[in-house]
Amino acid sequence: MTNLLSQLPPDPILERRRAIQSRAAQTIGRRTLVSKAFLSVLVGAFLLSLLPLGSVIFALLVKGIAAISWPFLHTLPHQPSLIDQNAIGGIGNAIEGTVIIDGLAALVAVPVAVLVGLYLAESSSRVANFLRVITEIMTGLPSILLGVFAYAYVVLPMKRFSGLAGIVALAVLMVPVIAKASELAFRGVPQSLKEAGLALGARNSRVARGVIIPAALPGVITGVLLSLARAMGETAPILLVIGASGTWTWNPMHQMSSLPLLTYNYSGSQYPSQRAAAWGVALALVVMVMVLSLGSRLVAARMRREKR
Amino acid sequence: MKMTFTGKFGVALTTLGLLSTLAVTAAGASATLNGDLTFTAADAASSINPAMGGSSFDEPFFNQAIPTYMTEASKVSGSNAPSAMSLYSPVGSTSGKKGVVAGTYAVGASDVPLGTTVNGTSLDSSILTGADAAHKLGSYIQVPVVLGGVGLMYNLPSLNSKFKKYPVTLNSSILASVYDGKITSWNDKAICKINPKIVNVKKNKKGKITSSKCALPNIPVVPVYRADGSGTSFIFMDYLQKTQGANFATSSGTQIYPSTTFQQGQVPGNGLGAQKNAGVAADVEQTVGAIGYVEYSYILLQHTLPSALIVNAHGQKVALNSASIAADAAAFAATPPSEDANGVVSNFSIVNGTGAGDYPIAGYSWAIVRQDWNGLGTVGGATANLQSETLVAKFLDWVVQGGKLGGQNVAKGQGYVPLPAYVVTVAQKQIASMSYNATKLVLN
Amino acid sequence: MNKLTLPAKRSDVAERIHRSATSDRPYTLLLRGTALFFGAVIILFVWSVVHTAWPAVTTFGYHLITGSAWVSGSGPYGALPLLTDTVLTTAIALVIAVPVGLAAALTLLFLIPRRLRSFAASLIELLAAVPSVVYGLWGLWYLTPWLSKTVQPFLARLTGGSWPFNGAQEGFSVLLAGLVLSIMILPTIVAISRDVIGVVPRELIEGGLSLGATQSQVLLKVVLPAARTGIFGAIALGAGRALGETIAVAMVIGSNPQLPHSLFSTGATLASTIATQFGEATGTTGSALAALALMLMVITASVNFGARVLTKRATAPL
Repeated sequence: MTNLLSQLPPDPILERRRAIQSRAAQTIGRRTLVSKAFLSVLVGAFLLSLLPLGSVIFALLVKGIAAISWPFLHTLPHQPSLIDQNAIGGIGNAIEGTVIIDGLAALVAVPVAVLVGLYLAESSSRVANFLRVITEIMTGLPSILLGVFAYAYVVLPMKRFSGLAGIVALAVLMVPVIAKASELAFRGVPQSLKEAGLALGARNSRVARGVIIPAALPGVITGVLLSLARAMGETAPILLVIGASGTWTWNPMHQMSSLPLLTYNYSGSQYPSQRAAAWGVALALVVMVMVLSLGSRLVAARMRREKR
Repeated sequence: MKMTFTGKFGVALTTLGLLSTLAVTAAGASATLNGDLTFTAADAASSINPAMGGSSFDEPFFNQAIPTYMTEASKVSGSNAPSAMSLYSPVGSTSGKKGVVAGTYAVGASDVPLGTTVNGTSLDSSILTGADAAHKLGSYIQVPVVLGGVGLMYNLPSLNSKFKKYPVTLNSSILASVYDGKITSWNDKAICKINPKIVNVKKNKKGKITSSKCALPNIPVVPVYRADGSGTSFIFMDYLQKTQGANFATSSGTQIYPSTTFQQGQVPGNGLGAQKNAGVAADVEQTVGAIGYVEYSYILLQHTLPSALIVNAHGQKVALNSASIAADAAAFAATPPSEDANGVVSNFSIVNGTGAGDYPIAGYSWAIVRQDWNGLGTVGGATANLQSETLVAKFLDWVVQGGKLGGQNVAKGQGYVPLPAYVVTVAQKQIASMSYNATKLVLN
Repeated sequence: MNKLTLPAKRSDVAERIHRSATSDRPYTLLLRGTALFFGAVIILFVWSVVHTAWPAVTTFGYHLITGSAWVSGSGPYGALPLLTDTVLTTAIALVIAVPVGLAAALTLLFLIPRRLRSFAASLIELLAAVPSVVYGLWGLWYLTPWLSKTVQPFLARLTGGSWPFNGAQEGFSVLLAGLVLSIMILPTIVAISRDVIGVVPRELIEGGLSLGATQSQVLLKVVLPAARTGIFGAIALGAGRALGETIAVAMVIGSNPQLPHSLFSTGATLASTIATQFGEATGTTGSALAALALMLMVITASVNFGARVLTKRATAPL
């Protein structure tokens, strides 16, 4: 047998493999070194990217914690004056307004966006392509325009500033972002999974519900998160439409207060006490977004684990 | 930084003191100095929530005045008093005007009266385009609500230690040249000339002065201006235009007229645009050599940088403070602001007062309200009826009152200067002209 | 001749498939209906911008784009400085954020201990949770003095004060705006490229390693090419965010609409100009600002189209 094999003409594939292997063996030292160097550059760049984060968080924590106290978080705002320059009250109703406005905006935006994303992922008709393009355009637009939009189509006809107008502006802001992320996520679901579902006789809707959406959920949640984080921090769209409120307002038909707007207004105050408090308001906002973000992260992680 | 004053300030202060006793009551307006705080169950005021917004200049005032008014009214009228009024939205003067015309604000506030004409063109022609009553200037009343001044803040750290006692003095010609780009360096001859105290003096052994050189640094002047629309810009440009005329011009020679947006193309290339007063203050603070115009309260409350003395029309160097602003406003008592039948407000500008103690850059802020709410449906989120219109009228009437519990007392606590008596008269006359279905409102 | 009859069971299946295809209409309608509704909202939105911009477009024509002076309030309304500054700041942001972001994504996925990955990833996501007004504040109070006192003098000394590092060292500049933008788009780039790199099949990576390639070779020649579609998507998203960012840019760029003479010069972007002036604008200025918004839309659309073409080309040989 051996004899027979050795008599065969040299196999070109084997020859090539042997050449590659010997070359690889010769260069492994150098390559490992280059690789190590490259990897350290990568890690270095990663650490570099944490630097501004560190600086922002440092500023937020140092200046924010100094401004935050329990009364600050649950009481109503108060306008300081020359006589009492530090009486700034709290941000209770701004937290409440932010929760209501962003919560309701997400409630409106998420189902619409997921359906739009599903449609975009499944359809390649001309209409879908057109919608895809304009969805993409929407994600890059300055958010102030959405404020102008909500002003023209909600505030002006109703002749009132309201939380509702803010909800509309933020929902329109969120939908394209979520739709685009969920389209990507839905497209990432292997075709074979979908076909398996269909081959079992399941309807498209059943496949969407039972296969596509669960498989893509982590991606969708990332999109929802990114958009919610963005929407929560947006000042421009609500600046022109939600008005101002100094009391607890539960009805979104009325004027409301919100954290980003308060950050913006306080950062422009002549009172040093309010300008200092701007960091506290911002910290409260960031903490809210973080709680949301970490919560959804845990959900996504648990779902990933369950799938396996 | 405290400045001492001589001259007409005594007069100004007396005027202020007399304000509460001299306030003239026009027909229909409240007779007390504290405004009308009485509400009955029939007023249904407690549930009315009229939206107010506009100039950011007025924000601290209204945001203290609104809750204070509700508190004071509840002391007098108990549960019948208004309790649902929202805070004020600082969205900008033009937005305030747009809002009141569109009916989204019950009270719109602006640092420049609605319908003001500059160099032959109306600033608000595009807001007032339309045939219906809402787009007619005459359908609105305009009420002066607060008085404030504009200061010039600068950042020259090299002067800090040695010349702390001598803030830089500027005049209108220098300011115009800085903002239209003709003066580019701080040690420009013109600036050195009116700052004879800011010099490095060399003396010989006998103590005799051998040379005295301008100590202003040879660094570029960085003019900081408002990139957003702003009544403060209008007042500042109004001052430069009134004092410098054709000298306040672009490099191509085009005269610059006052406007709410600073003509960005006209400032030098190293100029900085900023948003709101806080942005200007922050930019000046961050940039050595910068100068910027901000409201008095920013100078009063932020003790980080000095503000310039301004040479006024009388030739005096005057610092910005409430007395010098009040003096400037008092200088215009002979020509009080007035609104004609078409709703055009004239004589509203009070820049460049001629008195010795007048700080020359100051102005009023205006509340704009629809004169008759009948048939409007909704105004600023509130149902347009007699009750809601009366509440707004009562509130504004309280706002201009100089009594111990009146609105001007709140204004004083926010760093504004209480309205001079002759302007309170104008304001009350305006409020008294409000009507519902052509019947004059009744205020106690 | 007997007809061939299908066994009962198969006929059942066929019928069920048929039934499901027809009775699935509510689902299809729901998808289409939602998509159409959303499309209608967007079209209403775009139409309102075009409608507002139209008077300025017909009055000024191409001067709106080519004019080199923007004077709000009185005109002229030339957006060339704004366009230049918009592209320049976005370019600066991408030059910084793309390499750093990709490096961070690769590090998060492959290079740091497994236990730390999720924690480190949430650190980067924290950056996305910071509102843009806070970036503005931070840029204004922390970065501006750092730039004017340290970075700008250093760059100027390095290049002998020659272009593009010449001019006044005020801190406020297109350079600073680009820097702030790069930090703001970093989480977008990291998050998306981490997601797309994460789905590169293990077999590919293991195949590469089993062939004796080093880690860096696998990352550069297997992982990144396999994920390039998504990475281009990430970059496009980042660019879109940078092009449209308003408040933070407005706070640090110096809001002075002029053609940049260097990276140190102050400027104004399309978005920052809209943000600072829209609320107060009326008439012609409002219309000209809407025209700026229209330009921004067109630019965003082109970026996305470009990304799409690149994406298609990138995926073709695979």
